[in-house]
Amino acid sequence: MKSKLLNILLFCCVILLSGCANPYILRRQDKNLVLSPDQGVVLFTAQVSTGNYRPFQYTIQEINQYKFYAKLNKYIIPCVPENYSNGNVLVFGLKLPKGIYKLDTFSGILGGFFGYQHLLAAGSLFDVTPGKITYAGRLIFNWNSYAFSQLNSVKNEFEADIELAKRSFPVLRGKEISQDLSY
Amino acid sequence: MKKRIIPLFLALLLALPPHLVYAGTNFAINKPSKKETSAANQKIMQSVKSSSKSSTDAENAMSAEVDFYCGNYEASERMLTTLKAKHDRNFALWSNELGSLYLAENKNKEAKDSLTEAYLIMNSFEAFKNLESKALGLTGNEAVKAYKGDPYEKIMNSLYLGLLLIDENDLDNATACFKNGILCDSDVEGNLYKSDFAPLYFLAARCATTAGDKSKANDYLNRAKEAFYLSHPTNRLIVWEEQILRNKLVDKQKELDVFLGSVPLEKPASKKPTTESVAKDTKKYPAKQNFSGHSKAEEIESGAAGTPIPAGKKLNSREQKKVENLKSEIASLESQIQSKILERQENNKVISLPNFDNLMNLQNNVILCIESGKAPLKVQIGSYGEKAIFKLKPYKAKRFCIVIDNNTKREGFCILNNNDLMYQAETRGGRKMDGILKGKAQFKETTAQISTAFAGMAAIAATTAAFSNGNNSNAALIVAGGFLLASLIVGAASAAANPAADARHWSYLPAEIQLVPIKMSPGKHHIIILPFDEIGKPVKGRELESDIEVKNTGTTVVFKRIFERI
Repeated sequence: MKSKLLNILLFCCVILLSGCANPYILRRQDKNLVLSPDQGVVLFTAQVSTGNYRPFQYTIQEINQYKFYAKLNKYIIPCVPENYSNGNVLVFGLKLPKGIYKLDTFSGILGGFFGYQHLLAAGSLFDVTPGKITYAGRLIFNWNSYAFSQLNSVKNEFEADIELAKRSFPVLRGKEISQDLSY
Repeated sequence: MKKRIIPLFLALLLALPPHLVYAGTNFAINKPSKKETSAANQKIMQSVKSSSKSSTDAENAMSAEVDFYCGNYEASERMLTTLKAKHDRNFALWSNELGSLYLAENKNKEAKDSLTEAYLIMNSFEAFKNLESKALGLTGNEAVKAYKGDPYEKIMNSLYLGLLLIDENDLDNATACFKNGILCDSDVEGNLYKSDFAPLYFLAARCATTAGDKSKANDYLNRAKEAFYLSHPTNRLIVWEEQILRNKLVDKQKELDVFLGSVPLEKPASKKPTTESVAKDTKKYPAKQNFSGHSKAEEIESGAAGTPIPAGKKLNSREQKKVENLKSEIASLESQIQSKILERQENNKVISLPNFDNLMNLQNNVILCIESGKAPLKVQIGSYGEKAIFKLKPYKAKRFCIVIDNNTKREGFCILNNNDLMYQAETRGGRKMDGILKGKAQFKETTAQISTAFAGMAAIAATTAAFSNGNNSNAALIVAGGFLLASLIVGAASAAANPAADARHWSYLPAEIQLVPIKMSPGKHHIIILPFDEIGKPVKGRELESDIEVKNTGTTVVFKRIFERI
């Protein structure tokens, strides 16, 4: 019986902590940022016109015209507490292999604990430049109705967003960050 | 108890969302560990080795593209040369991309050779023809076809090649390339978007002037002006609206023809040519492009009189009303088109044409080709990637000032601009393949839904089996098995359908190319290109300095690319 309980506990821990070991996301506790020659960092923020939307994961799709569509990598990135640490503006930092990516959708809960799941369609492209940290802009989502909402615009709030990003991810302090807005 | 566990487990398994069972995408986070790959799986891995090899090629090609835009030409060239040596279905793509790379490196000779190889494949019907039938099948992927490029890629290949041939003083072949480019640009759906790329006409006119053929040169020049007006940003919205109206007009005219054709005749049909026969003839013998935007067939179709009702037709009052309605709609569309044409003509008066005399002046012995921005990016969208759309990465450098030998400044007035490729790419129109892909996507979606429904029924039957006794339980289990089998078969058919659109494109192209004819004495010169944005603000950090060698005779063609690297 004990071993069964232990197994169940272990299983739950694996599920709960799966985001912590994700190699693609920046974390507050990261001590140093080591990029391989084929990696780059992209930072972006998101703002939803309704305050009570909390995403729990987002999807990023690789864009590679030379690959068959079914072979394209899809990254399901779990949200971490650092993403929410700046109130209404969600801050995201990703370490990805060089290339072009599409920020596909955000999945989240609308309306607190007893809310329901809601998808935000982004469909915004961004480039990851090897060895560079780039800022891809602030994604503004317009809340048209409870049934459907999508990306309204990409704003360049470089100064403000970099300040927020450095607060969420201290490893970025003192690093050079360039602008390369998503499109 | 044990008997009940199996059906219950089956029911639980079937309750899983089908996308988890038939997952087609690679989820990077949930990759299986190496230990999980058993010896039995190794055999399967070997059989798919070729596909993983092509996946590595794809990653290498993407890496080469990123290296190109980061300025790491050496790595990019190494990778592309390796890929090109494979002589696969992407040969023309690798050749084009290598051509762009060589142009950025100022290796004109190598660029010409590479672009010529691409030219031969892109303009050949026979090359890799065996692969085309595979793409049309339900399980075939469009991307298994050989790459031959969209019309805008073909015109760029012809433009580059023509310019490089001018540089070698091979004017006959250069003219042939420009003519080919014009022909390729006519392979688009909307009449107003046909052959609207002004540089091709201008360069053909320049070649004709050099050959001493003034009437031909004037003809090309007039067409260059028309193309410049049609594709000018001021006119684009009007042209777009006018094209929609023209498409509607053709549809209405066809509807009227079909309707009149379906009404029984008292006497044999008149031998007078109908719009349908004209349309058929037009397909056989494509109408010569004229720059009012009308083809001959359309002029007849949209004629003021409309389609004459064949003599001897008996129309009842309902039919007559429908004919009258259609005719009034056609007349309304015609008047709307006329007003759009007038609007365009008014706009043309305020558009400042580039100084064509300056462009045509052969004493301007250097053609400086300034390229800026990144090529339109073709991206697959839709549930199964069945649609391909273009996205453009914004770029700042739109205008240029050229400083020659630190004293002469040339600005704006003699630049042939507004040749942005996004406009050319977007105005391609629909393809027949789009319809096929749409059909495949519908099949995939419907079969997936049927499979899910079968799985649901199997789950219900399995649950029933778990809570029944004796024969009832066995019968329910058999039914569950049947539904499960049906679900798997239909699901497999759904998974096998491949509606993804082909997203391959010449991604090393610039977003825009501008031509600047300059008069320079033979020998070495130092040029500085100063970029400005749309409102004339300098784009700092993007200035380009270079030494160029001007030939003693003929025209020297120089390519300079402004990269907006971060």
